[in-house]
Amino acid sequence: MINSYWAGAECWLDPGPPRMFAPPGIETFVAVAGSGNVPPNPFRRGPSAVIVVNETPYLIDAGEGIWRSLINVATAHDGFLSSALVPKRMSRLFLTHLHSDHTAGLPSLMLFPWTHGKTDPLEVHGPIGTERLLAGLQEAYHADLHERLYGPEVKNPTGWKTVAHEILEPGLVYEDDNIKVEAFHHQHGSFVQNFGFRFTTHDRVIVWSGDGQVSDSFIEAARDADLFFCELHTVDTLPNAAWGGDTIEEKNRIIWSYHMKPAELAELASKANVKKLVLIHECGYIEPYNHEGLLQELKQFYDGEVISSRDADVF
Amino acid sequence: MSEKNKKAFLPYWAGDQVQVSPGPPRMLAPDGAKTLTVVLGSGAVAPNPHRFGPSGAIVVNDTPYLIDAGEGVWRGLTKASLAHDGLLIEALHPKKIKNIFLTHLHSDHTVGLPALMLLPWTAGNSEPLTVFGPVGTRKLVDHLTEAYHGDLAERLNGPERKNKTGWKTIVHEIDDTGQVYEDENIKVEAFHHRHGSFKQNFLYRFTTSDRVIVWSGDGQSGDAFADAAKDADVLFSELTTVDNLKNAVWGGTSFEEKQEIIWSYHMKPEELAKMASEANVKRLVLIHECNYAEPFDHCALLDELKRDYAGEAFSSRDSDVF
Repeated sequence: MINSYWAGAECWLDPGPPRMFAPPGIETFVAVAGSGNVPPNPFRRGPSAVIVVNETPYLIDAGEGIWRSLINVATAHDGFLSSALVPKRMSRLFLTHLHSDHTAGLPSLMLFPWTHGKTDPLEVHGPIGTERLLAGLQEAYHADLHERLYGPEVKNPTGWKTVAHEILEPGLVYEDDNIKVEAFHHQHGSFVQNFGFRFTTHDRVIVWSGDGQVSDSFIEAARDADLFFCELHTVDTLPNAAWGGDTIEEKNRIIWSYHMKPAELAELASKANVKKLVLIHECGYIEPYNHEGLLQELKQFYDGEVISSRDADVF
Repeated sequence: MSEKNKKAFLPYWAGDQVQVSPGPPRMLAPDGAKTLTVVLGSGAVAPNPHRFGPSGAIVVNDTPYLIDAGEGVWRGLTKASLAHDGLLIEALHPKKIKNIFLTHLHSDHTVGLPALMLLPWTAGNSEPLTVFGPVGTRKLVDHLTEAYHGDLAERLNGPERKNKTGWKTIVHEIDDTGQVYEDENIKVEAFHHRHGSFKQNFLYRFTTSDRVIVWSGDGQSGDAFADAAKDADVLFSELTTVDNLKNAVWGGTSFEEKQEIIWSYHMKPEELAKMASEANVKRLVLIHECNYAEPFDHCALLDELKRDYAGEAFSSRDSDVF
């Protein structure tokens, strides 16, 4: 009966414990907080990640469960990233796009670090529409804010606030002493803006894709990256997809307007000369489930170093 | 790991609980019960990776009635679907998620709402979600819909063309305590009990053909609570420690402050014991435990309760079925 679970067999297999892949001596770390996507896989939280430089976290996307995903990262690897992931430091987020699987965790990220002592606002960089999202959430959670600010608890008066930095066009979107962040657009459904981000620090270049398709500008953005995190969709087992229409023709038309094929990713990563490729947001639909099935499908086309990520993996 | 990181890790700000799993889910429903209650999230505000945020579901006739939407409720539903050899797999299908009852508007009980409003729809649900809750629920739900406009517009008008109705919501604000819902499976009554400065903080009494289930909001004991819990087959209640209150990471800096603030929100073991005994509750289940034992012992608060309570009591885990 469980085999027929509506969201696919992947939801009942644990891909295994988190792994430490960061090379010795490196000072920029990337942790996959949530390696999942829309299907409610209890072993893969919603899409989110964190780049840590100099004990400062830079968050990417806020999928379902991000508050618990971050603690899951903080407690992994003997607390390696625990001092960076304290609530008062959870104050900077980059959103790739506005699909709800990438933003359903925002209320948690806005409100819970504040209830745990954060006083700085949450600064959110994202597509046009991010301001509407944040303003709507603040109105929505008015009753919580009001009770915690004026009830017996009397939480601090600032840590619940947010600042929206809407990205009007691709290019440099953020820079500080630790990191430079550039955004590039790639096609994902009908979104006018769907960003991938290129993060440059003193010792690494990290590229994180939005969901979406390959393009020339995408190849340029990923050029020579030390780490390239990218979504991927199966071709081999596409008929098993629980969405995208009823027929294989419909699925082909709809799903490939949103996502990337293994052969396309292989070509992109090869042309861009990325040093290490990491799969996130995998849609494999393999039955019976094999959590490395999509990785194997990619390897038919790609002979570079590539890893299928798990929650709390550190690179 | 550097010594610096190690030191930061040991007195971890979220408490020792984050490192301890309470263990696998258990099937604790009596043989032949037609009404089952599953704990979708046994956690609270604290970011415990082993416990989703507060949420539960009463299941009658393969129909789920959800209570609260804590962090991770969408994944909590799947975890519960796959537990116990798929016992609840049909009942917790996205297409069946139609009714949810909110106890109160603290964010740890509502941050899962965007997921619950939008993700079942992306998985094919075409029915609106009906949300019952305190006054303020309409503001919450309407502004969430507004906030997620970018997602709705793309999924409705982009290549995906999701169905036009499954993202919608119907709100029933509960103006007054008393009966708030009834259908052929279940009758739901709301009672108010005090929690901080909230004017409305509900506990719900669910009556079905074979059982009476009572689920508390966070909050204090009192006459209404005792009335709501009278002769319940199962009472789900929050609980906060007296013994280890000093370890709480919130509620002020001094012990005096913690006592003043925390006891304006929560319930003590001896209060719960007295109330459950007087109400003649048949089985007591702890949810939303604020345990704070260090080193962490997931049974410490249950043991603290049992000093004052001789009845049957459990400390719940995610996907436990009662």
